[in-house]
Amino acid sequence: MARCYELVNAIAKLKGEDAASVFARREALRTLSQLIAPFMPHLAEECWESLGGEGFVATAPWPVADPALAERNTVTLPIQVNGKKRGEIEVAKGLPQKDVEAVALAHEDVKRFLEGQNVRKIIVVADRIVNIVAN
Amino acid sequence: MRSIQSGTHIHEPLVILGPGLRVPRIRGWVLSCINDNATRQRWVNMSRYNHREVEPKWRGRWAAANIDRALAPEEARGKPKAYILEMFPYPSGRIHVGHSRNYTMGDVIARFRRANGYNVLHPMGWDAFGLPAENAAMERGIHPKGWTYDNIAAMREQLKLLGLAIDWSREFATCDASYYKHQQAMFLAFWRKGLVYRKKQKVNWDPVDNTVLANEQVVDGKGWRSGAPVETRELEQWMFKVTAYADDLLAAIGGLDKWPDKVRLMQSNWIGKSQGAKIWWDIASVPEELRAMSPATGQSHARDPIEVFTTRPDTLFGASFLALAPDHPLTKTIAGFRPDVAKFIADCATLGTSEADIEKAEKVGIDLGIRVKHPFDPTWELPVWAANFVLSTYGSGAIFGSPAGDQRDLDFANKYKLPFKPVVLPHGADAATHAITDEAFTGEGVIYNSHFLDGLSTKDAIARAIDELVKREAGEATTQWRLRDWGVSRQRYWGCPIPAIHCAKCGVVPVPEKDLPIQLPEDVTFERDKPGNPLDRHPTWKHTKCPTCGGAATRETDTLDTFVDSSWYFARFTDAQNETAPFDKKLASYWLPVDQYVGGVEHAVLHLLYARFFTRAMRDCGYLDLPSGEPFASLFTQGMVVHETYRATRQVLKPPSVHQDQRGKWVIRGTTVEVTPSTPAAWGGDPADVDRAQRDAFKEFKLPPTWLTPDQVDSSSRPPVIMGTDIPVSVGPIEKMSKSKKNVVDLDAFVTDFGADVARWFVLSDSPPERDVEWTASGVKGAWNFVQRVWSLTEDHVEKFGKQGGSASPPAAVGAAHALRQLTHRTI
Repeated sequence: MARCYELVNAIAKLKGEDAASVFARREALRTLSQLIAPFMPHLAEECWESLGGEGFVATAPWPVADPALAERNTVTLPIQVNGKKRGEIEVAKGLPQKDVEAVALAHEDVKRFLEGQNVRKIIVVADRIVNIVAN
Repeated sequence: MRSIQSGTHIHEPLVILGPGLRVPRIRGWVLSCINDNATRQRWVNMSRYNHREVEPKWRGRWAAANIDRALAPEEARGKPKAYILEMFPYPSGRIHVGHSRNYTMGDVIARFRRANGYNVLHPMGWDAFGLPAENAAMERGIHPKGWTYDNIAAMREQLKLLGLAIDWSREFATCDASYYKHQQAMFLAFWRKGLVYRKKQKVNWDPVDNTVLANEQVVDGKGWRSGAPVETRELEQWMFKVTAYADDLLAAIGGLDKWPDKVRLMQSNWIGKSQGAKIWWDIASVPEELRAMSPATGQSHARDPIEVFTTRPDTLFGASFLALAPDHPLTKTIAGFRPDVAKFIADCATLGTSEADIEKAEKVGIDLGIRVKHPFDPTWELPVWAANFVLSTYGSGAIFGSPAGDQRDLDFANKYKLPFKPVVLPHGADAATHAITDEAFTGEGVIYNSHFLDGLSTKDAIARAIDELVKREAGEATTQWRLRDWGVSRQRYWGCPIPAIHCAKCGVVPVPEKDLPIQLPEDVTFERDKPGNPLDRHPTWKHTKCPTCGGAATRETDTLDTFVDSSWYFARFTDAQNETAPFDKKLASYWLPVDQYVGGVEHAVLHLLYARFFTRAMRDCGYLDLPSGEPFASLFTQGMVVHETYRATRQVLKPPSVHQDQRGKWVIRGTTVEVTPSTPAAWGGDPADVDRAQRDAFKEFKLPPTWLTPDQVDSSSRPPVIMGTDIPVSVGPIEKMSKSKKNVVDLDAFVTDFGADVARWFVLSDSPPERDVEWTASGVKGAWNFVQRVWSLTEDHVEKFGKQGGSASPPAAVGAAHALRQLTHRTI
C-alpha cells in the first residue's frame, strides 16, 4: 500500500504533455487501477473504465512487470558540500565521473550552497557519494 | 470538469457542505474530523468522486456478470484452485467496521488470486446456532429462529455493501435443517466408527445459563459468557473421541508451516503431550486409623503403593516429598478421620478449579502422616503431603516434589522446611559450589548427587532411571496428554439435535438415517424462571418409538455444542447445495484444504483443534480424500480494529439544557445522550412530600457515567466534549470495538458517508495486518484523500488525452517519463 502512495505521488509529479509522458502516465494510471483493485475494487473499476480498460479490472489479469524497466539500474548518490549533505541525485550505475560531477553541480540546492564560492575539488566515490570542497 | 455526479443520485454527497448548506444526516464524529473550515473546504473541493453512485453501480454489474462464482473443477481448465475463507460470522445483529477487517483481508487475497489466474472459492455463511438467540428469546420474547434469520438478512446486506467478491450461491446457515441434517448423519457415522461415546462425567455447570460448559469455555473459574462462577456436576455426556487423534494432531503441527508460530505453540500446549514415567511408591508407614481399615471396606487402596506421574525421573534422587491433589482418594480417606485435612480440602475447593487459578494461588499443603519408600533406596523414607497445586485431572493426581528442579516444589519445600538437594548441575557450573536456595534450576545439565545416574545427561538419565524402575517393578515409561475428549452435550434448545433415542429396553440407540433430519420443534417457550432446556419441557417432541423394539421411547434432548457446527462448514462450502450428502467427495477433495484461512486469534485453540479433529474423522469415515487431515493450509490471524472509548463524566444538569425528545426520553438538548430525572430518594427530600419530590425530580437530571458512542462525542477538542455541548467526556482506554463499550462505528452509516473503499483501505492501512489498527478520524481522512486523489489524477488525464490517449507502443522514453515507467514496473 505504501508503494501505491509512492506511485500516486510520482504520477502527480509528471506534468509533461509530450508523447512519452502521456504514455508513461497512462501506463502508470492503468497499472495503479489494477494494483489498488483488490483493496478498493469500486474505485478501481471506475478508473479502469475511464482509461478504456476492457471488461472488469476485477477479472483482468494481473499486470506483468517488464524486467528491463523494473530492474534498478540507477543509484542514488548523496552530495556533500564541505562535509554536509546538501542534496541527492539519481544517476545511472557506473556513470563516468565527469558526468556525475556535472549532474551534481547542476542540483538546485547544491548550486545555492556553492553560490559565491570556488569549487576546489570534487571527489566522486563511484556509485556511493559525491563530495564537493569549496570556499 | 466532467462530473460523475450527474443523473439520478438522491443523496447529496456529505462533503459538499459549504456554510449554510443543509447537512444530510451528518454524524457527529464525522463533523469532528472535518471540524475546521479550511479542512472542510479542501474536502469540498476534492469531492469529485461520488462513491454513493459509483459503488452500487459496480456491485450491480459484478452481480449481473456473476464474476464471483467459483468454477467447477471441470470448468477450471487448468487454473489452479485457491480456497480463501474468513471465519464465518455469528449473526449477532449488525456488523461494525471492526468486523469488516476480517472480511476485507480475505477479500483482498481472493481478488489478488483471481487476478493471478486462480479459480477462487470465496464463500460466506452463518454460524447461526448458539446462546445469544435464546437469551434474546427470553429477554424480548422473540423466537430464536426469527431473531437469527432477521439478523442474517441485515448482516448479509451489510457485507454486500463492502463489495466483497463472494460466491453467494453457496451461502448457508448452520441452523438450516438442510445443513444440520448432514451433521446428524455424520454424528451417526462417527458413532459407528467409535469416535462418539457416552460417559458419566464431572462437568462444568454454568448456574446462570443453565448449561454445561466445555473446559475451554471456563475462564478463571467463570463461565465464558455469563461470568458466573462455575459449579461441578456429574452428568451423562456425549463425547467426541478427540484423543484418538492426539498423536497425529500434535505431530502434524510441525507441517503447518504457514500458520503463525504463536498459534502452533498454543495448539501444542493445549494437546500437552508429556513423556515420562509412572512410579509406584511403596508405603513405609501410615497413621493408625488407616491401618485399622480393612480391605473389606473397600479402602484397601490406603495401603497400596501411591502412583505418581513425572516427566523428570532423572531427578528422582532429588526427591523431597510426595504431594497429592486435595481430591485424591487417599486425601479424602484421611479427611474422614482428620478434621484439619477435611478443612484443607474445603479451603482448596473455594480457590477455583482452573489451572490458572491454581497457578496464581499461594502454594499450601498439609502433612498426611504417611511415609513412603524411595524406589531406588528402600531405607529412604519420604513424607506424603496434600497440596493445592497438584491437579487431580493430570496424571494420577500425585507428584513427587524435587525442589531443586521445580519452582513450585521449591516454594513448597521452603515454606514447610522440607530438606532437599540439587541433582542437576547446569553446564559449566561447579559441583562444589552450585547451590539452590529460592530459585529452582529447571533446565538440562549433568546429573550429580544421584548414585548410578551421576554423570549422565538429563536425557540419558531419564532413560536409565526408567530402565531401573522397570527392573525393580517400581514403575514404567508412559505418556500423558493434557488433551481431553470433547464433551458435546448442551442442555439447550437452539442447537443441532443429537440423533439418539433412549429406550428403557434397548438403551441408547441411534436414530435411523432415513428419519433425519431430527428437526427442532418451533413451538417452544422460553421463560427466565423455568431453568433448563425447552426441548425437555416440550409436551410432545421428545416422545417417540424405539427404532429397535418399537416400544415407547424418548428422544435425546441435548443439542450439540455449536463448535461442532463450525468444525466442518468449510467442507460444506465446496458443495453447499448437496441434498443427499454433506458434500461430494470429489468436490471437497478438489477444494480442500482451505488455502488461506483468516480469523481472530481468539479461536486459535478450540475451533482450529476441533476442525482438525473433524477433518481426520471425516477422512476416516470415508467422506473425504484428505491424506494430511489438515483443513487449513495457511492461517492468518488478523489484528482487531480498536477505538478510543468515551465515558460521560457524572453531572447534574437542569433544564433548559435538558429536554424531552420525540420518543419522550430526557436527553441533553441537541444530543442523543440520555439523562435520568433525579428520583425523590436521590433528591433527598422528605419521602412523605411525594408531590413536591416528583415535581422537583424534573428540575434536576443526572448524567450517569455511561459509555458514549463516537458520534456523540466531539473528539477534536481535548478533553473531548459531548457533541454540541461543553460537557467534558473522559477518554477511556483504546479497546477492541465492542457493543458493550459503545466504541463502535456502524458500517452502514460509514459506507453511506465515505464509501466502502475508504473503509476497506483504512482498515488495512497504517498497521501490519496481524496487529491492531486504531480507528481515528485522521486515518479515515487519509484514506478519503487517497481515493479522491487517485480519481482526480485519472479524470484529469482522461479529460486531456481521452480514454485511449497516447500512443499504443511506448515511445522512446527519457528523463522523468522514463523514471515513472521504471517506478510503475518496479511497483508491480
